[in-house]
Amino acid sequence: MNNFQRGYNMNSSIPRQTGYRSMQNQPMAGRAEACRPTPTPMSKPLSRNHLLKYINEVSFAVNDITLYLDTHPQDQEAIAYCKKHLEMREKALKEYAKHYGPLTIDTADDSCSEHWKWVTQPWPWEGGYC
Amino acid sequence: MWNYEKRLQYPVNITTPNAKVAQYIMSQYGGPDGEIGASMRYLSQRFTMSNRKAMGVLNDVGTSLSEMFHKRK
Repeated sequence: MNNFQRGYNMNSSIPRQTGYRSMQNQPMAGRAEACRPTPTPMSKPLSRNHLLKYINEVSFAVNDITLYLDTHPQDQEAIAYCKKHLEMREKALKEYAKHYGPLTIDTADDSCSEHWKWVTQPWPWEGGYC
Repeated sequence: MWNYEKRLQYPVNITTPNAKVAQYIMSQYGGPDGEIGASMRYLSQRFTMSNRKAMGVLNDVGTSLSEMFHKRK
């Protein structure tokens, strides 16, 4: 089973540049060794920064596979990869909203709050944990 | 249409705020030769792109560019 089929694995995909096969032999593969791998997410309560980092990484995987699928729309492996990571992203965004407030309008009602945290919490340019 | 997400594509941690540098960066973002202009060009060219896959790429690249904040220094 190659790295693509396993999907996104934070201990290997980031240092190896990517989760999907066709890029593993590219010149830049392995050039990102400086990126630290992150411990497994979603198991136990995560710190805010840790969860946000996970969301950023999974979201990047989604953005990237989206571009790949635009030019390879029949690639079943890539479609499965996209589906898996969309689910991971959605789950993580809900989890984040529940504990720390919403990052998206779609999760704005997951924070169990009396007021509209979307606007009362700081924005990224105000230092809002980005 | 786009939905805003309260996070950055790449984390930014400003340790020494500098108003002058911030002006340059904001201009790179939304100024006359900034990222927003570039993304609008992708999004305008997608309408007449004859290759269907390229049309999709223009749409999605234009979208991610508008989400981006290129930070230098």
